[in-house]
This record gives sequence, structure tokens and C-alpha cells, in this order.
Amino acid sequence: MSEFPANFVTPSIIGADAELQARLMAQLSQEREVKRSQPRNDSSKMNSFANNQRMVNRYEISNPVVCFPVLQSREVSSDSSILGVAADISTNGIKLILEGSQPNLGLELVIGVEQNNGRYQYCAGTVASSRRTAPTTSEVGVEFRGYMYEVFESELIFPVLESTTMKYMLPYPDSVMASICKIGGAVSIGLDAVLTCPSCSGIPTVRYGCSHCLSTNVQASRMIHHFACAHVDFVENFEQGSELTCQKCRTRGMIVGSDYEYLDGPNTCSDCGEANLEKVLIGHCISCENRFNFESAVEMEIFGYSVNKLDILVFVSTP
Amino acid sequence: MLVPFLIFDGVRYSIATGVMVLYDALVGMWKTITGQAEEEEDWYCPTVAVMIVGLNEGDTIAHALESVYGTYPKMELYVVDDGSTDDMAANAAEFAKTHTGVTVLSRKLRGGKSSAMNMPLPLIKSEVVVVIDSDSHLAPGAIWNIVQPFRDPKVGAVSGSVSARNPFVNLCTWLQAMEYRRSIFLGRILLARLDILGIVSGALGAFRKSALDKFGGWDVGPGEDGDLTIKFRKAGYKIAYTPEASCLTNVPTKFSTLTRQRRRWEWAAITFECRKHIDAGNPFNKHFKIRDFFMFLERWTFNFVLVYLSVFYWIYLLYCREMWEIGYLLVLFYLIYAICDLFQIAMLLYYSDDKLQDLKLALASPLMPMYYAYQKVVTLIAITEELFLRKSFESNFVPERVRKATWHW
Repeated sequence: MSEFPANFVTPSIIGADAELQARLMAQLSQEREVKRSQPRNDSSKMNSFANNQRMVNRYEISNPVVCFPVLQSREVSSDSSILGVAADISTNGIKLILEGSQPNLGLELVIGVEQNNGRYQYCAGTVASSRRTAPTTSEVGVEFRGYMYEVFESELIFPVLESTTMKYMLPYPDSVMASICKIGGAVSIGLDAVLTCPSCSGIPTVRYGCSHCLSTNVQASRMIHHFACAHVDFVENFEQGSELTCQKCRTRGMIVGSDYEYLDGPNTCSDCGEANLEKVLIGHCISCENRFNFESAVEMEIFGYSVNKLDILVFVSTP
Repeated sequence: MLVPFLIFDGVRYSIATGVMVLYDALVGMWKTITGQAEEEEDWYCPTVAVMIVGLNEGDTIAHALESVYGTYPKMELYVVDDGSTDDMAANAAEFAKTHTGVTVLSRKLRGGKSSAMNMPLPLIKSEVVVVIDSDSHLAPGAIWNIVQPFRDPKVGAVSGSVSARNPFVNLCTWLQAMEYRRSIFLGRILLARLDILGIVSGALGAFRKSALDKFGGWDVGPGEDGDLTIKFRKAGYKIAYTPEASCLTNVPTKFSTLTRQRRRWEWAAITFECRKHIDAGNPFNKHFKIRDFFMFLERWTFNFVLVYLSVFYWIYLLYCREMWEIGYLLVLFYLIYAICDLFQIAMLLYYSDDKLQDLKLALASPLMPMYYAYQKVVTLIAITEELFLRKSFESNFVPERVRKATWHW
């Protein structure tokens, strides 16, 4: 699952405004020209984020971006996307030129970065700095850390079986993953289908047992078929002292293979006394203690998520 | 003219059944005239275990189970798969999952029909055990009807009526269907009335469980159903017949298969009636009973003595008579047989539960004398084989490891 599904398309909610992005890119080029012509300003060291950024290599890029604020509930707000351009990127963070003098960013951002093929890949981080650079634009620094950053660190998010509840649980709430899927940051994929407890959806343990009372205390019996007289009975009825004796024809000292053969007899439940029963699969749910005939188990599909993750190395390795 | 009538078994089904029908008709008329109504008794309802034993009957087992299940209130149902290589056990187990009271027993290796039928006996708690073939289809109410004679504690076993399920497939099945109606449906009414019935069909038969336990069930076959019936008789039980309890079974569609089947039946008759249970026909034996003697007398006379006598008769004709006389006699025999057969059809219709079907079958009547002649030849070959070569113990009907271990009577 290292590659994102090929059939994935950028969701329609990303309404890329080509004219706006062209204007922002022109502004970015102009700022870069100015910076290069001016001597270095030591006051920039006052900004801790900028200091951190300088400890690692930063790479200038000019890809269009779309940003989504993260709500307090950790869900991504797909209704309030902000367009912009990425200015530079490092392994620690990304600097963005966004539309609006004081955009409503919140604490964390999910950032979709447009690739050469026109598709978007996503990263996330915590807003570290924000300043107005022009009457209608802002420069925003995003540091790669925080809750949403961890979500986008994974390529594949899959549920794990919790040993206490015996239920498959995702590391992130369904509502968070649904909101990420809505903006195209991830897509759900079917991983498996398992049989679960009909009352609580826990994964049951399974054993053979009595179809009548669901007990496992079922004794299998063995029978003997005496070839000469066709007599068939339970082994214990043939046992007389140290040798086997046929109760029908009184033959004694029978030899297995030439005189008789063993047959699998019926099963009997020691708990309810039910005889002649066929052993069936019985489920027992550790979570809710429900014991049930396994035929009534409910099939549940296990879903995971493939994350449309931004590969930062594509940018940092570019000379 | 009397010679062919006696040498062949015209007597058995013509004169005797004629007397029986006349008696029943007169009694019926008397009751009608005097206004006597039949005494209606409550239905007898013992607990019943139905046993279906089969080998490679995956296609038919579900149908057989459907025809039995739920037709009787106090019923255990056992299916025994005698080492099938098809999905018989799986199909039966599938049925058992959704129907309570059905137990499926299966064995990995074929062990023979007798031991397969004995396998459920230690588990059965019911008073009556009903055995049906896995390719049989029971008529409605068959279980109810077959258990009624057990009201009499002297009755140990009851035979049901067996008819062909595939009567009009070809001439072979048509002739057999007519034969089944004549010799099983009608013939067994007579034999049961005379208390000389010596066979309970494997296709549909019922046995008192306490008696089965005494004998340890069936002995090694072939012909295990006839063997068990004689054991019941020797132990003093009555053998009843209920024509109302009927089942349909598939009859062979080829004369080659039919010949093999009939040879096996005749081998078994020699094994059990002339060897294993010969003591029952010996007046000086402690097990001797006059009714058993008459049963054996009937069997020995028609199945052995008359068969060999007819051979000597034909040799006599070939050496001592002109060809035109032999031709004349052949035509005479044919006419006598055809008349006897028509007479029997009339009697069959008197008792028949499906007169239209029996009339259709009766259209094969002109060919029946030739069919009986064919059967006499098969019987002659089979009893000679068994008397001198003991062919029954080479039969694949019983697995080799069982054949080697069992007693050769």
C-alpha cells in the first residue's frame, strides 16, 4: 500500500482559482528578488521558528496549495479552504503565502500541495507564525508536528485488535478519518472480513461443542464392527476382562483388522445428556460473554485508510 | 394340460389368490347385506426409529428424507452412509442441521449393508425400527400404516408394499413393475394370510426393536432381509404384511442389471433356506414349527423343485416327443400362462389402490409369460451356481474383508 490508488482524483471541493494562484506566485517571485538583493537581516533570528528552519536546509518551491483548518474536534473543515502558494519547504515545516490579510487558520492546518500532474498530496502541521505581507496576502509558517501531522505521517492506517475488548479499533476517530477522506487526504480500503459476536461485534473465540446447550463437554464414542456377524456396538460393550468378546456371536479374542474394525460413533453431551449429536462450532465473546452458535455470527468488514501523503523528499532532494 | 399348470407356479398365484378374493368378496357382500360396519380402531402409535442406509446416494438422500420427515409424530430418523465416495453424508448432514431428530452416521470404509443397518441399533430407543432404502419414496401415511400390526404383541416384523417408481422407462421396467404388483402387492397378501410370508422387503420393512436386540440385528448378506425374517419366524414371531404402507423404488432398467440382481436374490434363498435355517424345516428339530415348514415347503417347491423338474420335463419332451407336439405344448403353455395372468390382473384390481395405473401395467400382460420364462432360466442358473459353487460368497455386495471373515453357510 505504498502507492496511493491510481484511480484517486482530486476532490471537487478543491476549487483551484488559477488567476489567484498566478497572482500569488508573481508576488512570491517579486519577494524573492527583493530578498536576494538585500543584506541579511539579523532581527529575523528573533523568530524561533525561523531559527529552527535555518538549522536544516530549506528548499524554495512555488507549488499551489490549498489549506484546511483543523477544528477543535480534530475534524478537518472542508468548508473553509484557503488557497495559496508554497514558498519553501524543509523537513521541519513549510512556508505558505495565503490569500487574505488575516486568514482564519486555527491551530493546525492540513495542506494540500499540487503536484506536477495536477493532483494534490497532503501534509499537516501546527501553525507556527503568521504575518501580513501585502494588503490581501499573508505569510504563514507551519511546523510539521501535532496531532494531524501524525495522521499524515502514515501511508496506511489500519485497525488493530484490542486485547481487552476483542474489537478492531482505528487509532483515530471515524469522524476525523471521514473528514480527511472528504478533502481527498485519504481513501478507505477493505482489508478483511471477520465473523463477530451478533450482540456486540466483538471477535469471538471458537470451539466445537454441543449444538443443544453450547457446552464443550462433548464425548466422542467409538464403536466396533465385528465382520463375521455384522454386529456393531460401543467398544465398552465388547470389552470383557482383558479381551474383546462379541455379544452377538460370542466370538472371543478378536483381532483388529482381520476380525473387527473401529468406527466413529456418535457424540454425547455430558452436560445436557443430548446424545447422537453432531458437533458444531460455538462462539464465545470475551467482550460481552455472549455464547452462541457460530452460524449466527455476523460478518463484519474491516476497513483501513490509504493516506494521500505528501512526499517531502521529492522537494528536498531536488538540486 | 395339468402338467404345465403344476410344473410352473400357476397354482401359487391363480388358484390360491382366486380363493382369497372369492372369500373376501363374499364376506364383503355379507357385511353389506347385513349392514355390519367395519370396526374402527384407534390408530396405534408406538415410538418409531426410521433408518435409511445407503451407499453413494448423494443425489437421492435429500428426497428420501423429505418423504419421511414429519410424517409421524414420535420419530427418530437415522441416516447411515456406508462409506460413500460422493456427498451423501454431507447432504444428509445439511438436512440434519435444519431438522431436529435426524442423526447422521457415516463410516470411512464400506462395511456392507448389514453392519450399516446394525450401526444405529445401540442408539435407538424406539419400540419399532422402520428400514427404508435410500432410493425409496414413501407414499403418504406409510409409517402410520406399517406400525399398525405391531398392536399385536406376537407380530415381530411387518413388510410394506413395494412398487416400481419408474414403470414406463422401457420394457424391462414395465415387466418388472407388473411383476412387483403381482408377486409383492398381491402375492404377499396371500402369503401373510396363510402365515407363510418369508420375506420383509429391505425397501420398506418394520421390526420390533426388542426382537432385533435379541438377534443382534442383521447378519452378513447378501439376502440379509430374508435371513432376518426367518430368524423372527423361528423365534415365534408373526410376520405381517400391510399393502396400505407402500413405497416406490427404482427397478433396474437393463436386463443385465436385473439378471445380476435376481441371481443375488436366488443365491441368498439357497444360502438361508437350504443351509443356514434348514433346521426350521426339519420335523425332528426342536425349532420345528408347522407354519415354518409350510413356508419352506412353498419356497422349496416353487423355487427349487419345480425349476429342476421343468428342466427334466423339457429334456423328456425333446427326446420323446415330435417337434409339432413341442410346438403345440409351447402354444398351450403360453395360453395357460396368459389366462392365469389375466385372472391375476382381475384379482389385483380387486385390491388395487391405483386401478388406472394397474390397468396400464396390464397392457404388458401378453409378454409376461416370456418374462416368467426368462426368470425361470435365471433362477435355474443362480440356484445351480449357489448349490455347487457357493457364488454368494464371491459377491461384491459384501466387502472382501467382511466376506473373508464371515461364516460360509
